[in-house]
Amino acid sequence: MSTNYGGYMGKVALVDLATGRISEYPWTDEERRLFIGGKTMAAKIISDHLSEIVSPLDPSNLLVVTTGPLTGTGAPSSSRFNISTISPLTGILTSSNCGGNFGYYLKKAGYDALIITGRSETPVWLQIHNDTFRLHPADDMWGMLTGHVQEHLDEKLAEGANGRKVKNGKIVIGPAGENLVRYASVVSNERLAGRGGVGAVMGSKNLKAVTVSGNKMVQAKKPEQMLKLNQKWFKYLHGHPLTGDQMPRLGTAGLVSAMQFNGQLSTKNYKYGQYEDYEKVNGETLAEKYNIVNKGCLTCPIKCARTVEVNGKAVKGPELETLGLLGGGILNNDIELIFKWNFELDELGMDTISAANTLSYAMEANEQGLWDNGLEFGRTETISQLWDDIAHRRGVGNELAEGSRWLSEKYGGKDFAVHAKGMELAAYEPRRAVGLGLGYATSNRGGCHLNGGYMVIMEGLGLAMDAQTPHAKADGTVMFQDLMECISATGQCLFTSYAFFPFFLLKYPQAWYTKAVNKILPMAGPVMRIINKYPEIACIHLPVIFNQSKAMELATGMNMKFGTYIKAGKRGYVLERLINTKLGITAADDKLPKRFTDTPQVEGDDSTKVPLETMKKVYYDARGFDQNGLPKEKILKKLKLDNLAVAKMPVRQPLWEGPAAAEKKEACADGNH
Amino acid sequence: MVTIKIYGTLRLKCGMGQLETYTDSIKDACRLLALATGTPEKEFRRCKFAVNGKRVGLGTKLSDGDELVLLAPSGGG
Repeated sequence: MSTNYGGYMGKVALVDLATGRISEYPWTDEERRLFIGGKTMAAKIISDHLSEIVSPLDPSNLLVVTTGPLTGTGAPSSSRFNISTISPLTGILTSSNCGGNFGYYLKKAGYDALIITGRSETPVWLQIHNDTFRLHPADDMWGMLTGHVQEHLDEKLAEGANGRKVKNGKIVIGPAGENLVRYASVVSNERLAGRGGVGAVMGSKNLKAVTVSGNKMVQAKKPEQMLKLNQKWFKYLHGHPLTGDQMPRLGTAGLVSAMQFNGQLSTKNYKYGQYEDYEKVNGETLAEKYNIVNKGCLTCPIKCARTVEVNGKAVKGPELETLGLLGGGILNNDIELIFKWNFELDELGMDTISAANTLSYAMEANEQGLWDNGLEFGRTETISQLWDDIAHRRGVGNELAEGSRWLSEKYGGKDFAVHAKGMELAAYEPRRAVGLGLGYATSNRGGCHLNGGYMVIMEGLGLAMDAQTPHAKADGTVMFQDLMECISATGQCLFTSYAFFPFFLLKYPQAWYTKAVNKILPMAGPVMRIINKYPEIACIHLPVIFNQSKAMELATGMNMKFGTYIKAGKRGYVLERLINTKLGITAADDKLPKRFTDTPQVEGDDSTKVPLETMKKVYYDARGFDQNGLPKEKILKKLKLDNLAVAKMPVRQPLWEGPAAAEKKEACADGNH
Repeated sequence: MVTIKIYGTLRLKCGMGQLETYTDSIKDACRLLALATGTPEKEFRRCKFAVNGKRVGLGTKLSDGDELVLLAPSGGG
């Protein structure tokens, strides 16, 4: 199947590991126009097969790897790819986004996406070169760490090419994926599709790795104009205070100090918002004492990745989340230990966010006498061993491998098990950025700051909008969730969206106009509501600050203005929600632990709680959902989702299984009904 | 004596993370920082400020024992 649009390769591959059959999956230009690519495209594919998926770790689950139309066009930060599936951590749809070069090489092989279904009887790895697909035994790689297996694959590819090094993209899993740790990740070079347990789904299919190479070229519809736009865009990102200064110099780690002063830095399992030893684990310390070199993905001018030394080897440094959650989160002030743990978790193939939060929950459960597990805040000497135990499901590690929701159902402490819909939260403490709290609660994949709309950038980080007011937070959340959804769908990094805030507002926080914007923002809800309800009225390209829609037009040839871009993001977001509602999600699941909604961060100051229910009402209205959180027919119709199979599907039993279900299964297996 | 702490990229640019000095206002503190580091004063004046953990404006007065923090706007993920 081919396409009339530029930017796409026009083919989607379907690999059934049970039969070894490779086929082309039908995907039309109409679907390209409506569902763009990336996580939105993956959501559509999964929605078409939702009724067939028995459970997250069943062979019937799909692992959908997608690229976007901008991948390979030279647009800045556009080499990302996405992995979507039904998550073993949450039981609902998850999407996990990754940098590196796998997406680029998948398109070089001639494919926009790769769908993997079924389960191989024995461990295998998949080699793709152009239109040739080969499944190889992977028994010799089973158990290998992610770095080692990637080196091993390079050697294997070279063997097959008379010793020549083969340029390729890879995705691999480590022991955590093999052993079905619910938050196992997929690793690609040093980058990770970290969240939601996509690695466990890959492991459940007995698929250790995929390599991809090829020699096809991505063709933009208007290549010369695209080139000119890209040049201007790179220049703009280079000159912007966030994408051209903070991110390249400090990476995401640079946020630790700002979050500390805003009271937003998760400390002692989010009990507090400030960590007294933050200076020992912040981005400045990392940059001044440890950073070896900055690294970035293909075609990325931002270069947010750090490099540090662990055991004499230069490895990827930790991001903000890892610094925050394995620093103040567990009361550890040794940054070198965080480097080491970050490396170990990557090698084992585990999400640092979920691993860290599950650990801090366990420490608090022990402290409160709910679960005698030997883990204590500030005690770090056994943690490296613990990661290994989790990945190999040994001892207490076997239970920690289930995640914090599962553990809180077994041992209690739901009020401080910091997750939303089963996915552990990022390092931002939402009581001092209540809009982000709403984002965490409503995010389609669970407790995610980015999928949640990242309102914290306006609530004290970039801008200084009142962080405690609920005003305009719901409409802002909807707008930024939709915007970021589409950026992700096109294959671009979400960090390019920070340039959406004009540089002068960020560079001059003391200027009268910046102060005025900060004051006006809480009153801007109605204006944002108009764009949320009627995005098509914005039938222009936003000059300078937002090049994404123009790039989509030039790359694909679609008619895509700012409004249609937002609408495409909205379609993706609502489709993901629709899928989740068919898996039992309602307004009752859009929640946060009581630590955030019932206990003020500052004693006696009720404004330092998240007024979630107040914001949710406005949010559902702005989204076109009923107050039970279900998309109304009107919004489905408007977004052309009403005729999809998933829209007509009945609600299923939830696919997440807690400890009670596991005990029941064990009892059944023992014949003890 | 006031303790001044600088965070964000400005700390890397000016090569100084902390300064202890006698000063009675944020504006004066910015002037002193410029003298001490050779970095233009405007670079300091356009930061966000916090005194003893509380966000304040450029015009704020300082007292003996205060901790002044200079922060650049930031974003990440």
